Amino acid sequence: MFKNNEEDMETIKTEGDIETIIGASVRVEGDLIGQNNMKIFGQVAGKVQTKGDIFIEESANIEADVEATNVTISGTVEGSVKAIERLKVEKSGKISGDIAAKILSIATGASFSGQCNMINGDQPQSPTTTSKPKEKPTPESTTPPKQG
Amino acid sequence: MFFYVYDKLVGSKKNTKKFGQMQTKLNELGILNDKAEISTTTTIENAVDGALSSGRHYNIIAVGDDATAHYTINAILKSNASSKKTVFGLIPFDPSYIAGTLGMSHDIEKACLAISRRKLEKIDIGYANEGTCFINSLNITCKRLGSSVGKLRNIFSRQKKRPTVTIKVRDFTVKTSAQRIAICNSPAGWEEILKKSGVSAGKVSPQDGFVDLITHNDTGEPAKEDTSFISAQKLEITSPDKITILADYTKKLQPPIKVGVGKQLLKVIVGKERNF
Repeated sequence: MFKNNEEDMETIKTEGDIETIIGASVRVEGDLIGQNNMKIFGQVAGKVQTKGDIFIEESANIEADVEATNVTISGTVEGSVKAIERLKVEKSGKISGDIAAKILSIATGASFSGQCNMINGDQPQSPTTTSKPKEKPTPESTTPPKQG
Repeated sequence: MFFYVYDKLVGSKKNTKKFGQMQTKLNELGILNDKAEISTTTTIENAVDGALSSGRHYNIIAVGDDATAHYTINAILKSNASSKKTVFGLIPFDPSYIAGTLGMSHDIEKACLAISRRKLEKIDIGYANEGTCFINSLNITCKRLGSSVGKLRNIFSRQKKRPTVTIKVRDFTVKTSAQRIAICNSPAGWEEILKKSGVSAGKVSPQDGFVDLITHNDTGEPAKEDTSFISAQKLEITSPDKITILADYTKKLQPPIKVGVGKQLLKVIVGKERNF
């Protein structure tokens, strides 16, 4: 029914320009894959991946592997978390799974159970410690990237 | 040449003065070329198809509310006689979200001036099951029962459980029982909610080639606003519960519904206060 004037058309924005918000009353099942920033307040089961940043808020419950450039976790994640740049776990954050990041910060009161793998450039280093729960002595500490 | 299509409401006694004012202004501006009143014998589809087939009319102007605009746009897009030259415009006689999208004033004289200026934009058109086009949104609502017993049942069912809606987007599905659920091509009617959620209304543009799934629960606490926002080019709406989907607050549809978007399919006349 549509007479689509393809020659006149151009895609003004791509999927990459769009921010995604998953509200607290929403459950997502499957592969939530994007290119830009995501904020999650609800539940996700499957996989979460973006080239942008992910903010997992306090009310969020993620049963999925998470991968993004920067990841901030205030909610609960059951699955591996990979941050190409920085992984920040807030005091209300809970992770049950392996984590990998170039820069890692875990706040006092946060919970982490799994293996930690510090990324150095393109080469991930061998897994380091496992602890449950893991608490840092300072309110927030940052581990800079290790140099080979 | 301009062709105006309006329904009986616009020509009714209630609107006599306003209608006369419009005709005078359009005459002054020299753009009152032809018009058709919709009746039992003349549907919007027939009137628009006839005007376009005549080869004289390229500017199809709906005079009325969201329903008049919605059905006129559908008639334009379904007509085999429409071409790249075809333009849609709206002179709003009643409150209209579509007028808000296009920036058409409810002041008749200003609206007529905007039509005569003929500032054009190309906009996307959403479609549902390839049979219905929408310019603004598909709003998903819980099916309400009309009788008093039904109304009572609605009160209890609302307290008990809201309908669950499943929306398939790319490789994932979204399940929600939110109070408000919509697939938007334009932010009209959602500006406040988007603002509260930190999403700029500009992200819901009828020129970006996307439709946006928006869900919202009014918690009464600004800090705990519960809103979702997901952009996509294709969606599929299903529900195990009885729900109704309203296209442009006008046409009722039943799930399952496949939603898509046609990029910049329609040329429209816009006013200064358009929302994109």
